[in-house]
Amino acid sequence: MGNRRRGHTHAPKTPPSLDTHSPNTLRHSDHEQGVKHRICMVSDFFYPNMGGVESHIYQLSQCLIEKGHKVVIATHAYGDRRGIRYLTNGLKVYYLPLQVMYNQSTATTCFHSLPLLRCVFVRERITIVHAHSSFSAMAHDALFHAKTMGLNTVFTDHSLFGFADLSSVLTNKLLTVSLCDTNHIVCVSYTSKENTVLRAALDPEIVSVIPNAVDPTDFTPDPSRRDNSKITIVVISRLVYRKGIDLLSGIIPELCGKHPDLCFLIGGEGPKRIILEEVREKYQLHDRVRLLGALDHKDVRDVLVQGHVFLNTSLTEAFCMAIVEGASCGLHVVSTRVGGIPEVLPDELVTLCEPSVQSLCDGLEAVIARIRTGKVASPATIHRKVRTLYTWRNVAERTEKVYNRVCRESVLPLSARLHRLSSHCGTVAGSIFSFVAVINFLFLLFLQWLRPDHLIDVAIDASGPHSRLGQHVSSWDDRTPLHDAALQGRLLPLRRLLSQGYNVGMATLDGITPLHEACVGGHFTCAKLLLEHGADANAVSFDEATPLFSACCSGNPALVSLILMYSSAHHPAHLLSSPLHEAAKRGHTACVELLLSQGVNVDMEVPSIGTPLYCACESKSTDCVQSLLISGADAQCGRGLDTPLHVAARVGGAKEVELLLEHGADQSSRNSEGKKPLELTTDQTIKHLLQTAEDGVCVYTVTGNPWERKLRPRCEHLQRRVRGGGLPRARSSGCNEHTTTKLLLTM
Amino acid sequence: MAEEEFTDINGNSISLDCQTHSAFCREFIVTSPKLSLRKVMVYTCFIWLFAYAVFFFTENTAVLSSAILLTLAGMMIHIHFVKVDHETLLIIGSLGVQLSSSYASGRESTTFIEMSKLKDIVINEAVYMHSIIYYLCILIKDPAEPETVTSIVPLFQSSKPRLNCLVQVYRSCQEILAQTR
Repeated sequence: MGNRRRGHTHAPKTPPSLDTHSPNTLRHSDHEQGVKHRICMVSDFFYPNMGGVESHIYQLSQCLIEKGHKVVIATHAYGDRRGIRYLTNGLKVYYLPLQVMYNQSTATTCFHSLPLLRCVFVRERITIVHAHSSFSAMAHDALFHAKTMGLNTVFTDHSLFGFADLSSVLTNKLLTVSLCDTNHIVCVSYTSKENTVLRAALDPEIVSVIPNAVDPTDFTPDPSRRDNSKITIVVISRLVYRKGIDLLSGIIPELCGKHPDLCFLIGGEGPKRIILEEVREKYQLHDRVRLLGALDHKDVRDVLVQGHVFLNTSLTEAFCMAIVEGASCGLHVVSTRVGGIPEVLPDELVTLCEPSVQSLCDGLEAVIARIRTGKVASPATIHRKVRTLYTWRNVAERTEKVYNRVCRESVLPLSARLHRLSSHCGTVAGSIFSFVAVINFLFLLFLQWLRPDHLIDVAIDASGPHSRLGQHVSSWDDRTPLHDAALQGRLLPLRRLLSQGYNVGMATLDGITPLHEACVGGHFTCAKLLLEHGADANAVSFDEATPLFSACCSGNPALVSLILMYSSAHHPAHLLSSPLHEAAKRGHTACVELLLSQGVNVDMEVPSIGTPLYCACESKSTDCVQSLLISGADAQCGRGLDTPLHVAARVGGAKEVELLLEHGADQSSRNSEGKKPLELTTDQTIKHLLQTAEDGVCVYTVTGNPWERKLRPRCEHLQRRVRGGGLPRARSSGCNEHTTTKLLLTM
Repeated sequence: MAEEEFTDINGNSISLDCQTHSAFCREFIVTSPKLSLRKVMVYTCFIWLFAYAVFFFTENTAVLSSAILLTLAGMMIHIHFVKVDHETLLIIGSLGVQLSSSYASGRESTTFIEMSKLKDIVINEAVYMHSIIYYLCILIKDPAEPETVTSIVPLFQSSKPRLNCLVQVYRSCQEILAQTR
């Protein structure tokens, strides 16, 4: 990056060691690769307001999230938009209800925003507060409070100021006070850095330069949109004095007089529009000067690609984003040589002029002459050159280095801050703001007494290393080596780790222990080792899985019997599944038999998935169905009114249907839609089986008690009568043999 | 069944009582601490001392009697409309959700939300006074348009439990909602 900067820096005003890439930073960068920060960006300006600062904050935050940092944004409420919102990739935005005073900037009383900002900083466990824009009162407030709370602070200045008039003098004084004890300041260009250092009387050592960036994919050239019979000059800027619109009004008549094929396309709105309209009126240029009015950011590219030359007449500019966008669309750029503009683009892409009508006209005419002779680079070439100059990833990388540096610095305690304030900001302002700082500190103590930090709930992260947004990725983050060794079944490393003193009960955020992992992997020896070291066989994870449950999923009977030896509960108290269901679903017959031999209830119905028999039928595991039926599972119990026979018919398991019929399943029972199993199948074998059963050629091989065996045919007879005869339906759900029996006895 | 100690957002201890009536029906009762006698005494003393000070200078007995009336009326209003003893959330799968809060005076107010109107139960964050808190809320939908949320009903509005308590209630509720869908 250093080389590239030198490539287009006209006046290297600062020695290289003052950049972010000082040797000091490089030395530490290796071990700081893994440091993840929790950053709070604070500014009054954020979406839905549109502009350079807003998109800077958004893009920078997105790239920092991509790099694994946690980022939250705090801004003031915009009309209806207040409270907490989430943007793409879990970027959390606090729209705090603070009163807006002027131009979307909040009032600064130094105190009223402390309770809310403190709450944000505490609950998000912020380590770095990054404030943006010197126009934003909220940003200065946040810096002030963050320093009081002992957090590291970074400030990004997005604009240039004068020194002469009263308002600049006052703003500069405020900036001096606000920045004198800020850890680090970021400027967008070297000119801006110079300006800020002078205005705020800062040590240049703590000021870094990180330019803005454009999203090059948004600004691609499209030469087919140009009208090549004419030469079009595009101007896109706010129509205000600062942007040099008075110069523009001088250029238009002069050039239009000389070149009859010249057109102007002007986008933007502002108080100086009237001047341009007057010029247009006076010289009768209605067909050649088009005023487009205010443009949405998304429409800018459509306007840019229609032009050949991009003209920027700014009188002051910290870092001109517009000329980068223009160049990215393949236009040749003509600009005034003011502020940070000379640093922005390499010489071959931009023609720089003095901010006067004559100089700008000369520059434009030179470019027009080159266009006529065809000596200019093609739009695609220009775009290729610009594309790599300013990317947000690069900005994020450089900002990250600033954060790493800031993290190493200590935050000044109150006494040192007071000393700094009085020595840096003059006697009057120094003593006033020292007083304010003390009051702020006392106010913070009061708030801490009123609502101690431990009473503020820590927020659930949506970005950063502990993000809960992409659960699957994040749950791997806090795993120990023990978890990995257990999952992969590596016995020797596991033994070594345990002897090194790793805690066998170490659980992740999701409550998963190494024993869970060993069971998921189905590793008998690893599980045995863990249990011998005292692992809890009844540990329940957040997803309510026990080791037994995981073992049944993996289907290793030896492992299941091992876990059963250590654990007491067969079925944890939750209602979504059970070990027996999992084993039946996956066709692990040996596991099913083991569990049944331990006395697990074979007809246990889980409301959402039914009985084990139902699960086994659903997954067509014939062996399981057989062993369940032999162990006395009720062939009628399924899920609600849906019997195992229904599901077997539906999935087309002929063998299961046969088994079920042999064990006394009722082929004429109706499910919740009122359908018989026969109506659910298209399989010929199953149809045949069910029809034969309906004709009464059914062999009962009931293994229940003799009393039940005697009753069963009568029961079924009765059920048919009940159903056919308009009596209230006796079988409401599941296995209601007893109800039916009662009914029978009372009749 | 289970009764655990939690605190509300101001650090006062509250208790959560979860009762599982059946697989489809659960009841959560959040109980706030009782009206403390000390607080009542302090408020009463303040008003009466103030009234007595005014009386001392004006020598008008109407001040004293109005202070007594004010205290009584204030207390009545407080226990009848403000102070909530416990809040109950009864969730019955396939039927709906009943919210009730019983005031210190014994008055109860109950609302019922049927299942067809209930979109989901979620934990949300909000700016409350000068802090940011988590709260549990019910998202209400219009049965005609199942995708849009028409309104939000906050739960445990007066007891305001902290996140750990909310998470427990949330999980149990989701278990029941998962079965009914």
